[in-house]
Amino acid sequence: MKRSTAGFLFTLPWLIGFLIFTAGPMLTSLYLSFTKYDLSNMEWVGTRNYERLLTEEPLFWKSLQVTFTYAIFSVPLGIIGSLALAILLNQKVRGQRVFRTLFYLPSLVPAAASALLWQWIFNNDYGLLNYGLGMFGIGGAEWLSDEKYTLGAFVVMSLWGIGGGRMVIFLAGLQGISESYYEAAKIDGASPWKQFRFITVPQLSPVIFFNLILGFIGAFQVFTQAYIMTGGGPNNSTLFYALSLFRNAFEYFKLGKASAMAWLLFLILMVITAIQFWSSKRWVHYEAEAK
Amino acid sequence: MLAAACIAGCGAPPDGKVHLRYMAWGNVQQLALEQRIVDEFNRLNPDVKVKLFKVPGSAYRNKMVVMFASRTAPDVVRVDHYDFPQLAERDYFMDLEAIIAKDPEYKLNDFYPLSVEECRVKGRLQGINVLFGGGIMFYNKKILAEEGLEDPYELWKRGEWTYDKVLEYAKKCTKFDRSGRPTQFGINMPPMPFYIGVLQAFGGKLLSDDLQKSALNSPESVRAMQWISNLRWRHKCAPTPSQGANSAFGFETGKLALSFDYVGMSSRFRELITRFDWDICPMPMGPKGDSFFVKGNQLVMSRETKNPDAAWRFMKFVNGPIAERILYIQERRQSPTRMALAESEDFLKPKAKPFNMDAVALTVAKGKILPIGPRWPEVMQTLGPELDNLFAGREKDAATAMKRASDAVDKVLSEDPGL
Repeated sequence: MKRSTAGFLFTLPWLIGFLIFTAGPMLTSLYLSFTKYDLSNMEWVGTRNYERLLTEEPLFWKSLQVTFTYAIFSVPLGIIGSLALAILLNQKVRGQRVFRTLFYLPSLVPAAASALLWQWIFNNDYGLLNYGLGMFGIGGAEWLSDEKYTLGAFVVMSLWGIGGGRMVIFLAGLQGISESYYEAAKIDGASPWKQFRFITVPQLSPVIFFNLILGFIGAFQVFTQAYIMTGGGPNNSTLFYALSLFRNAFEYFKLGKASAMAWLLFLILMVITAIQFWSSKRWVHYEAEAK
Repeated sequence: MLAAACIAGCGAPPDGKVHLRYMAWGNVQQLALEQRIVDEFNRLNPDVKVKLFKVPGSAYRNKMVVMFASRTAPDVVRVDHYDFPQLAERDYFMDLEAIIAKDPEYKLNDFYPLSVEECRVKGRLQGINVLFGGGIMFYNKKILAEEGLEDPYELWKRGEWTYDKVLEYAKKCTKFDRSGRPTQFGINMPPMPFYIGVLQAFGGKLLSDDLQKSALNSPESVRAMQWISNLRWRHKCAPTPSQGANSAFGFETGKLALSFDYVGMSSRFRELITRFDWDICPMPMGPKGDSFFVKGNQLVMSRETKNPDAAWRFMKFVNGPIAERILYIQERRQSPTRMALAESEDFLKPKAKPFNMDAVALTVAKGKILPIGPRWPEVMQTLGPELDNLFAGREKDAATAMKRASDAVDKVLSEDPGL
């Protein structure tokens, strides 16, 4: 048997799975996005779903605005938090492994369980957050029932995950930076900040870039927390895109419109990712390029 | 050979019985009862084996929708009435009219007419009613006695249990500590669908009779909604969303005097409440009439079932006398749908709390069907933000909130339902 045939046969189970469970549903949803489909009748409507979403649906734009705002704050804050934590956990101190385990633990809590936990933390009257603020003489807020604060509360909650997979990737990246760079910088009298600015950040830039892309994709898929904690309210202030899409599909049975939303989301993420790739030429440094 | 044996084996169950799947949800007590009924049916029907398929309440609707749409639904499914018209529109359920016509044992006039009416969509009987009941009120006798207030049930019998009286009771029973934090509330905010009962009592409505337009903008509806909003923001006798979060002032805590709820909560309250006496009474009378409404769950047969005869036998059993006795007379999960049982001494004169069961019988006999149509989820989601504004105190004026709510609902209902 030819090597290429053997290779193909080895990948065949995955290819079959991809075609049936990923490519098939994707193409089906593309077709559905041009139809009016309510789980019983299907009717071809051309680009009507797209036109309607873009020109007649205030909630579509509201959900985009909510999701964009959340992403713009939560992704950079999450990356800074994860990087800071990774740097701390990279220090050679006693109990390093214990600290790493402890900080990783929250990311193992299922999203639904952590949503319930945060619901308590954000409770206006009995919540830990308002209680803590009260100790410093700061009046608390109605975090989940006042639309001025809800999105901020979700951003704060997103920081719960800074010790998760993203931090582990940063940690691996940090361990890949050669000590010789830092030694040379120290000999030249570089301060810790300058070492961080001119060695750590450029060396980690591919990792930061990777996390940035995944961060934005993840932020556009926020669903569970909003579904459990606020149901999109109050006053649609936490109507995330994925929640709006879910409602159209499984509550209103507007499968055509929901499919159009899914494809618009795909296009939006493609554009955001393309912008990130374009900008990466200016700030992402690959070792191979240096050689 | 192995494959052939498997195919042969898969086709016919080795025990020779007809196997059915029944899907339901509920709290621990409800699921235990469902299992008891399934076991009893299996014992009395040795040729059929029903398996209870339990799905958590939070995932139930999604699971059910996907199973019906993919034609893999269990043979018999319990559907909440909130979801029933929307799914019935899509012809997922068997039309039971012809089946019932051929069954001499099953007579539709044994049941409350509205319990049958609620199961009809597009002129076809697409389910039978279970867990049928109406909204009532629970009251904490200890708190009322401490405030020197008369038993609401006695007031009801004299025709004096009105919304004015409810407000007076709620205000008197609300207590705060020295720092101004609430320690006890007089009443809970009437949740959906209880506020539809309040609307009705004030002469208002949620939707027009044909379910095509909002009716929240009428002076009567506005007055009713203002009464509800005032409970929380003007009179401060109902907990705010954060005060009431995580059931901090649930009826079972003993820190709530009056509670809008279903009689189905009784078994839970009997189990949890040991420190105070309690009972039930009907919802109050309003300026334009009573607040009674009814709502059930529908037991439906999947159109895809391979065993309609056995499935019907099981469905008939679940709202037959044996199961209704277990569900409603022994455990009082709701009201019997069979009038004879609901009017029997066994139901009306129970040996355990709540004792005022005629409050339930009266509600079921006189209640109105809720205005739930195929677009109910959209109506509710559209209403949500405006009701949020009113009930969360951001908008204190019900007229303004209801005007915006009506405009939003009318816009949604005027649009093509599929787009």
